[in-house]
Formats: sequence, C-alpha cells, structure tokens
Amino acid sequence: MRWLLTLLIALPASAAPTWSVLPFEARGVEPGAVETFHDLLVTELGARNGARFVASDQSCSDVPCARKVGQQLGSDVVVYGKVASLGRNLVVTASAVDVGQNTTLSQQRMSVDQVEDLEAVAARMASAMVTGEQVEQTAELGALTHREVRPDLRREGHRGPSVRVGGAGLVGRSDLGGAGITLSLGYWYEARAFAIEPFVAGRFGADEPGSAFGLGFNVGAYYIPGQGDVTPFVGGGGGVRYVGGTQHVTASAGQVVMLSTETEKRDAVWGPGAFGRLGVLFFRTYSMRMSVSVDYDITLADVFGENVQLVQGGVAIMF
Amino acid sequence: MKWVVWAALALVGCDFLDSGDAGVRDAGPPAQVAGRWTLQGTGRLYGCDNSRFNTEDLRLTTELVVGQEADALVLLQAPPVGDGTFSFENGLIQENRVYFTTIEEAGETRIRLRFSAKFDEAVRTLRGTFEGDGPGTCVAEGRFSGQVD
Repeated sequence: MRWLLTLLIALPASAAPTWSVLPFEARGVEPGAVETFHDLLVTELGARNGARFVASDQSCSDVPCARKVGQQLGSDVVVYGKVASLGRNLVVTASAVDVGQNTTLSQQRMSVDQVEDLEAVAARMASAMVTGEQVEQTAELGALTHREVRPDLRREGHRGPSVRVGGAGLVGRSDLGGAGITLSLGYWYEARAFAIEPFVAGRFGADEPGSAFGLGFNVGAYYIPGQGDVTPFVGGGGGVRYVGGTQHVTASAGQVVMLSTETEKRDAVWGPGAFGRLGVLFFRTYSMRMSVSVDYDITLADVFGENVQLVQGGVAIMF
Repeated sequence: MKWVVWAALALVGCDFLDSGDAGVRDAGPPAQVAGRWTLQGTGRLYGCDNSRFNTEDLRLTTELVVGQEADALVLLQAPPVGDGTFSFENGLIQENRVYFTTIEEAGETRIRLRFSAKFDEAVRTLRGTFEGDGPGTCVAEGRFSGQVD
C-alpha cells in the first residue's frame, strides 16, 4: 500500500493527485471544533503530499459513499471520518480511499482527552496517511497529545494552612458538660488521591454545669477518591492531647446529721488519642478548598476516672 | 525560793491554757446540756469508692433534741429517717466535755459519727470535732459548733 501512496505523492506537479477531505461527522462534539480539525487536516496533508484539493460539502461514513463522491469530484483520493465523544475522550477516525482502485489506503484512529489535541491529531493523521504508517508511529516532539505525555514522576501537591471551626459533644460524660467549641489550625498537603494534615486543635466547654477542655497535637491522613469540586474523603489520625475538665459536684448523705458538699473539681492529664473523620471536600479544582466533616475522637487518658470521647463536626478552609 | 517560781509558772501556765475558755467549768458535776442542739460543721470526706465524692469542702448540719440523765445523753425525739433509723450509740458528759456517737442507717447506707466537744455554759454553745465512717467507704472528719437552746 505504501508504494501506492508514494506513487501518488511522487507524481509530477502537472499530474498532482487530487484529494478531497470530506466534512467530518461530529458526534457529541462541537461542530466548530470538528470544522477546525477538518481544515487542519487539509493543511497538514497539503504540506506533506503537495496534492490538489477539491472541496466538498458532502460527508460520508463508508467506502462506497466516499468512492462515489470522489468520482463525482474527480478526486484520486477521498478522506472521510468522524469525531465522536466517548465519555471524557474524543475519538477521531479517518479513512483515505483510493477512488480509482476502490481500496482503502489508510485507516486511522486516535483518542484524545482534550479538544486542543485535535491539532496534534490532524498532524499525526496527515503524516500517517501520507507515509502509510499507523498513527502510533507518528509520535514526535510537538505532536504529542495530552494522554501521551508521561506525567511527571514528582507530582505537585496543593499545600497551605488550614483552619477548622466546629462544635463537639462529649460521649457519655454528662459530668463534664455537653457541648463545646473546637478550633484547629493546621497545614494541609493534598495530592491526587490523599491528603495529610498536621494540626493543633483546641476545645472549650460551652455548657454548664461542668466543662471540658482539650489541646491536641495531631496528624491526620485522608483518602480522597474523587477529583471533582465535590468529593468525599475519609481518614483518621492521632496525636498527643492534654485533656481535662471541671465537675460541679453536689452530694449529700444522711437525713438527720446531714453531710453535704457543693464544690468544683478539676482534673487534667496528658494522653495519646486517635480520631476518625468522614467528610466532603469542596472546590478541589480551586486553589482554596473547603471541607465539612464529622469526627469520632477518643483520648486514652482518664479524666475523673474515665477516658474522653467526642463526636465533633466542623467546617474547614484550606488556603 | 525555787518553789515560788514553780508555783508562779504553774499559775501562769494554767491561766494561759484556760484563757480561751472563759466560763468553761474546770471541775465539778456534769454540765446541763439538755435542749435543742443546732449544730454546723465543716471538714473533709475521703476514701470514698467514687472519688468524685471526696471533698475538702464537707458541710455538716443537724438539729437534735437531747435530754440528760445524770452524765448520760439521751435522744429525746428520734428524728424520722424514712425507712431507716437514727440513734445515739452512746452519749456522755464529763464536766463540760460532751461525747456522743450517732448512727444513721437507711437501706444499705450507714453513717456513724463520733462527736467530741466542749460546752460553754455561759453562752450555751458546743464547740468540738467529729469523725466517722460512711456512707460506704467514706471517712469523715472535721470541726463543728452549735447552739443549745
């Protein structure tokens, strides 16, 4: 087949072959982009084979149609094809038909993931059709598509400070009050599918009677499955905390000789702790992210004889 | 001459010891302490199973109607204690010193307190200490004072 292509291209200028590139069918793709691709393909072919081009507004999707149109136009070679969307990809197919011989000279297919790559596809397909090679063999610097460019081994992550505010409720510790306010400051490093965040968190009791407080130095790691602007994430971590609380104690015994007390008691300890977090990450494609999350948190140190467990929710901003 | 010095020191010493107890009987028959006793005290509670109840801020209050038979104290009106009981385990008056022990039992709760006090006959007040056991494993101790009407 290659000899035929070479022969067609090698004909003297007076006997330059006549080519027709029929309009490409656009399937789920913006017609303007497909027209541009068509024009680019004509230009690239012309730069390579020196042929004379005859335009046509008829489009074909099979060889008999192309041959018929080619005969009508008096073309030696007719190129037809289509650009179709498939999920996030654009699939370009093109065939070159020898009208006289009623044979397919070249049949090419390329798949790209961004419309800008149609320019490279036009160059690659023109090269493949003229040389008789397959389009995979026509890769060269300047004509690589986004999919063909090997990603950097050292990936760049998003990073920056993070601030989280929220509320916390103690689990099973009514003696230390109910709700509290949490505030944490951290450093958020986010890669494609995970994030790591060292942070310092403070918690203050906001409910009477009794109150609890905590200060933690933690590191969290999260799995982020999605790449979009709204994606869930799940993870957890641990650290060292200083937790404590104040109890308002009222007690009495005896009905005749009454012993009673009403006092404030304080207890605070250092201890290890861990947490699990489930949340939704917003605006992942922007430089500033936001997340909404819910945590279960336990500190393995006894305050008034029991460990401290929390359920807390918060809103975070990562700059 | 030496005996004069010793006598003087003894007198000063006795006077010094008694200086805070003006009107307190030094010897003689038991003081008349019968009446309505209204007592208040403070102290601490420790050793409780539930450490939450251990406190340095224990308060004691009671009102008792107490009679006297020679040097013995008796409870004239046993206060009601729900389905339990309250009684004097013992009560004794030695001159102006008063010693008594109360026991209160209700269900599984038992509180036993031992009181020791001085009675000031002039102002009819009691001032002393208490200690005891209960409720549970708690141990109580402290000071109390009160009026005898």
